[in-house]
Amino acid sequence: MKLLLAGTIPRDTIDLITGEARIAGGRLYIGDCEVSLMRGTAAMVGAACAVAAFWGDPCPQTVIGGDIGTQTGSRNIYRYLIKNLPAQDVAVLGLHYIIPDIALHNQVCAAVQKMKRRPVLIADAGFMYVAKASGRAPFYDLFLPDLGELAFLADDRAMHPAYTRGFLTTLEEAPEQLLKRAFSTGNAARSVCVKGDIDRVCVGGHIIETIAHPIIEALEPIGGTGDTITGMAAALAAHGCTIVAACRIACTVNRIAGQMAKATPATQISELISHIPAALEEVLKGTAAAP
Amino acid sequence: MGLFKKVFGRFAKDSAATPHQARGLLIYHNVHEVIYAESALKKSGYDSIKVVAPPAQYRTGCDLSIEFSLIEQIGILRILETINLAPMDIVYVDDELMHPTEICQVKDFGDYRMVRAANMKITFDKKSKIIVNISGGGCSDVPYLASQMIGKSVFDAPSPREKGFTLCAYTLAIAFEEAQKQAHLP
Repeated sequence: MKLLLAGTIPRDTIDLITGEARIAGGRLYIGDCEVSLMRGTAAMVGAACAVAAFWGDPCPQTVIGGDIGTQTGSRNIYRYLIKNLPAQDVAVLGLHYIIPDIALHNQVCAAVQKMKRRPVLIADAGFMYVAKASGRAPFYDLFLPDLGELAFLADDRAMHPAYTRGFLTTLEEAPEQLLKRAFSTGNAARSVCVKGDIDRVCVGGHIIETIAHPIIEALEPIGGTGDTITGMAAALAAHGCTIVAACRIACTVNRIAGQMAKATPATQISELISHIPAALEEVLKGTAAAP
Repeated sequence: MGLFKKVFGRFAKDSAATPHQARGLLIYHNVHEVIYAESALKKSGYDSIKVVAPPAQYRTGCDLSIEFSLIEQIGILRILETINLAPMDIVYVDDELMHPTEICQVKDFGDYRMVRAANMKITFDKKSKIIVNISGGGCSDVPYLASQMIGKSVFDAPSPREKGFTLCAYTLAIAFEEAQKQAHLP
């Protein structure tokens, strides 16, 4: 099934590139354009490529805008999606790093509604922020926040994680309460995968799965470990997994990949991505470390 | 001065607050301009200004504005006009506005120390003071800032206040500044 991933990369020499993504020789390519396999959209796409290649699935299609914060690439992505989505047949649509713009976001939602087949909608990073800020969170099938972002979803007044009030100091102690609050105020997608020391997969405000092993504490400071979960979950959903299964497998594979990479807080995300195929194989064999 | 008349006129007509209590908001097109304006005003001694969320009609999803005391408006505008950072609008406010979080949490990882502010995390080597990772965030300048900062000392790395454009960059700056303080600790 077709997987489409959209987000920005930090290159101000690129306006917009679209096309098939693939990893070759440890390098990420979008069409013929080599992209640094770093935190953010590139890590998400790289992880999705690794999973798709493992199954022999088609490579993910991508819409990539170059943006170092000036909004140009972000706006190019919004406009591309608004114009082109209605005519596309996409099974899973993953939306990632972007500068929030509520008006343009709402036009993307309108474009999705015009599609013949509604894709599974996955939002993380900036696209999750703007989905919540616009009041359209329940339109989405899956959000993937970390604990700090969960506090943002739970704060019905916050327009961006920077404005999150209170409960930031007790994040580890109260994720269940934050989840309930996010769902009850309409600020969560139908499913939410909360990434943390314990990963939690939730549907309708209820925790369905928890993933706590193996414990790899060093994953928290490594930039991109959330992005790889998002990319893997999207690719697994496109392969045919349910959202809950996709999240469970993705979270477990991330931990195993960290274990295989002997991750430290100084490890870079490209090292983890190189271990995804072996980690996925181990998880699917059921030989991954059990609690 | 046109903006001043507009706002002061509204203040005089609508508010029962004294000029000392009354507050205005400097509205900008983007967070980048706010970060520069805030820095310039604080350097000029306007320590009572605060960055806050703008009113709903100005929000796009990644916004920041500057709250100030109306009594200081003339001086503030003079400084901003001198550096070509005059706001796109000024509005009078009487509601409590949301402030970006300034709470930081510190987590020890043996040889490394991580500082988190809201959704942003920065980690450095305790011995060398080198930034080894930046994590979190969702705005498009975060990967760019990470590429500029990782591998550099917390004392030499460019500040997200100078290089960033978004609220994630603003939050990363808060974590970065706390990391600089933490780097002095054993």
